Amino acid sequence: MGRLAMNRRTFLKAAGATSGVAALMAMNGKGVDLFQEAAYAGEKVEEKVGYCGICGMECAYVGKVVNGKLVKLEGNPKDLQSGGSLCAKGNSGVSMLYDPDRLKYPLLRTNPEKGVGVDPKWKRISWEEAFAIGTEKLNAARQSHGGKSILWIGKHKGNDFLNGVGSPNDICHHSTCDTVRDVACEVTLGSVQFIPDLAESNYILCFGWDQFGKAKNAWARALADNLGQGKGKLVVVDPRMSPTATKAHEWIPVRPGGDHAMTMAMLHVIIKENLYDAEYVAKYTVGFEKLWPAVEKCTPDWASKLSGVSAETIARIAREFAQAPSAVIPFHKREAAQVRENGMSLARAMLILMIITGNFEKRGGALLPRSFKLDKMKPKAKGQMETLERVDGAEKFPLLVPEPLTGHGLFQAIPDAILTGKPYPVKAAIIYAQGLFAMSDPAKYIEALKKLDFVININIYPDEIATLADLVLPEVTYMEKTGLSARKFQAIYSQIAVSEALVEPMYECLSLSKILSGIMKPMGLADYLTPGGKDTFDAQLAPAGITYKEIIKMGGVYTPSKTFKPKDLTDLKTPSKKLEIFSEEFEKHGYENLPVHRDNWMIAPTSDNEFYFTTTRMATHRHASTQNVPWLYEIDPENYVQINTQAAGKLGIKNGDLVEVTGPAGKVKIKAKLTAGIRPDTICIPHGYGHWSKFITLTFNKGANDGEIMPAPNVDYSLKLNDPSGSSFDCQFIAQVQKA
Amino acid sequence: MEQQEQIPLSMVRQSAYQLLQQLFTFPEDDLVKLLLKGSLLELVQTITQQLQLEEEIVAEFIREVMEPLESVSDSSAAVLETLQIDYTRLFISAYPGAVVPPYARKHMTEGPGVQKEPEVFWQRAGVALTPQWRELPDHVAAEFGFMAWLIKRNATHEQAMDHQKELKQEYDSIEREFLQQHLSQWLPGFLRLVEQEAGTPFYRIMAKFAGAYIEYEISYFKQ
Repeated sequence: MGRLAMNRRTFLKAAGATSGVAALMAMNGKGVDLFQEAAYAGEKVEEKVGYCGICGMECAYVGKVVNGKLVKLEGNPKDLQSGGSLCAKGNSGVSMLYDPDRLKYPLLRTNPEKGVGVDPKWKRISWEEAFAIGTEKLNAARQSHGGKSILWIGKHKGNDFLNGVGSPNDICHHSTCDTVRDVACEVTLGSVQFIPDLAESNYILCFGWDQFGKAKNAWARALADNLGQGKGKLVVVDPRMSPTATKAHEWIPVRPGGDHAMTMAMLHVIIKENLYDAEYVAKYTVGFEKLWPAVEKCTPDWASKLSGVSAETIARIAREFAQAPSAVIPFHKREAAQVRENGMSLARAMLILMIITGNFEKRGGALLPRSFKLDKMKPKAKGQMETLERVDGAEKFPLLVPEPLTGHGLFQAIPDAILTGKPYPVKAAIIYAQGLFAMSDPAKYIEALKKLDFVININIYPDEIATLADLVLPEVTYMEKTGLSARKFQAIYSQIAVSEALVEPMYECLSLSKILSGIMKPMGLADYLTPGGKDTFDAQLAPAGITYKEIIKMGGVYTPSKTFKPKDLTDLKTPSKKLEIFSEEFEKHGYENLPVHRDNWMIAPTSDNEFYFTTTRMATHRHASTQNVPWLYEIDPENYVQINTQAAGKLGIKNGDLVEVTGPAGKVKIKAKLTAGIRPDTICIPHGYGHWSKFITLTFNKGANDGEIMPAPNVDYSLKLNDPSGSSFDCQFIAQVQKA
Repeated sequence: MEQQEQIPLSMVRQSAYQLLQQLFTFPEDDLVKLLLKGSLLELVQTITQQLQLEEEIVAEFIREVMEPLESVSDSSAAVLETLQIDYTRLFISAYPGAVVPPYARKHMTEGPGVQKEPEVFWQRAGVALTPQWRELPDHVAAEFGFMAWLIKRNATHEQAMDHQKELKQEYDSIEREFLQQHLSQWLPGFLRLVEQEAGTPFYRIMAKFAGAYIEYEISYFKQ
């Protein structure tokens, strides 16, 4: 103790410290302001309104806030879309808000080495420092290689930034998700999507569409109501007995890729047997006369060989579909039409089936979206692109990206573009709300990100992308901010929903608009910022003649009109203003203008350990973004590969065995789940698992990422396909399975 | 050994909790100033001596934190950066995984005599975290801060009038129950983890100090 006393005296002398009592007194003056007196006259319960931010459906909710803490989210009964209920994902928002794993503060990487399993050695920094560092690095990229050398990767909310720096490189995951649907619908209907009127439909025919599997609240609820009331027949054509198939009147386990031939044959039967609506076709469509030559040879017998479905069944389904009072073929995202190379022709055939049977703009059929048109806010300055040439080559797909910054692009082409430096070098990227798992062959993407000088990630969770970034900026969740939405998933009536902040932003998280403003202002790009936020809501709502506060007062949802009025099908946004069976646009750009079959689209397994590959997702999860949300994790913590019981038996695989699944990009190890509910030649892995970021502690190392076996083709490959969607066609391969 | 004057226990305990609150909050300039000026050592030593905690912790603190600081010409900015990196690693976004998430919910299990929600005690005491607090309510710093607040509030009732005695009894029982049903259920394990996982001698020794102090508190309330 002598040494201690001596050292301490020496030290204190040098430092001029105070006495013990004084030190205690000084300390006692600090910190107590953490708490304040609160009047607890029982519990203070508030009800605040908002709309969900987990998926794009934006179902309205009422948040119960007790003494400042959100305790429950409930569906808003005023919401015609959600019918006053929330799905599991919507309910789980509370646990996401208070998940301790969330990003809390701006983080700066201090370890220059990057990669899987490499500690970024983050340091918490202030927002001032974060903005200063971000600005400096982005400016350096602009100065050395121009604004075009900066990518915005993620949800297309970076237009202000890209306009400011003049970069056309607005990159989103859509080419792995829904670009086939978007392009097919745009050229055929003049709208990027349609809304199936599931509640009223007499015949619902699904080619891989699995709404009970996806559990988008409004659609799944409408379909369940329909079935519960015995209104319609549900037929599911899917290699796998999906959750939707389990509720269907009929499940047709089609050969993967064979659904396309089935739709061609259905067109054949309907035209041949005069089951189409001739009056409707004459009045609202163009190109019908060219359709028969395209499908004349596509008989049910022909399709049977390709699809594995009997000719009788195909002809019967065609007749049932055409003769139903109302019928619809819903399709959405990452289904049959998006994941195989015949997807565009399949999408067009599905649309044409609905068109020639007179089912567009009819209750129970397919409706065009009815979003209320809010006034758009505009920035002071208009962007000027440095070049229209994009690093992903998307400008070569004129129907996908007709002008810069549409939100579309060739996501899968990005790694090669960065790694080769062609067509020009990329130096920096801002990655927003886009995980690594949206990309096939993520290993290549990781190598590409490592090559960049600076990566900023704006995120809610410290996921894999965050661990690869140089600067991580925490965003608030939807429950911590205000919002205004003219929603697009409800087509019967347009409805506007608003959000109050249920609780104050937690930690030091900021909204995206504040983060962008913090980056852009010091870069001298303030004039490119679109005015947003609560102060602009009333101006945006002007066409509705209502204010933000009034909508809150009336319960969070405003319905301008509850009268269904069919849209004029002779005034569409297509070149002919009608429904286009034959597409002049496709013709003009050299694409197939009618549904067509090509033999080389069909691939097939050749041995017992080879399988068609399919993917799906859990009803409880949104892509790869919610696996760490505690309440959802509790329900579905891990994924698996579904294998037919008999097929697995041939390989000596038992339920729960660890197996190795190999694809063109690599292999994954995953548990086998044996089922009779999948074709013996097909396997399926639900997407979104296999997280390797150790910062998301619940989901870390649970299951496997299907993307790791999928190829990420470059732009040359996509051009060679001569497909207008630029889709990555993720499942166009045969996978091998063996016991691990 | 110097003779220490006797300081009122409530003052020592309040200071201890406030010091712990500050130690487990993200380090800023004021903590580094406290460290470099020697005030932190002074505090740790005073608390250790007043409560008769293990003095070796102070010796270790001098040996492994203070002396190296004397002998190297580290600027306060460099010291701050070292502490901030270690704090981030340990408590914010640590690697691998959140090594020691600083939240009660991550370390507590249900059981008889256990109350996982700290808010229950705040409500009984008639307080709430200020709106400026943006962290989760069961963050270790908030829980230390609550004890400091309780002790301070209780001290003002030391010479309580008769009609305030009931109030003081209630504060006493909140303090005891918060310690027994909540803090003692997770802090010893949490602090051992911090000690184990800390990347700097500073956080390792501070966790050891905090652990010794919480042991004192547990036995204090057993009496």
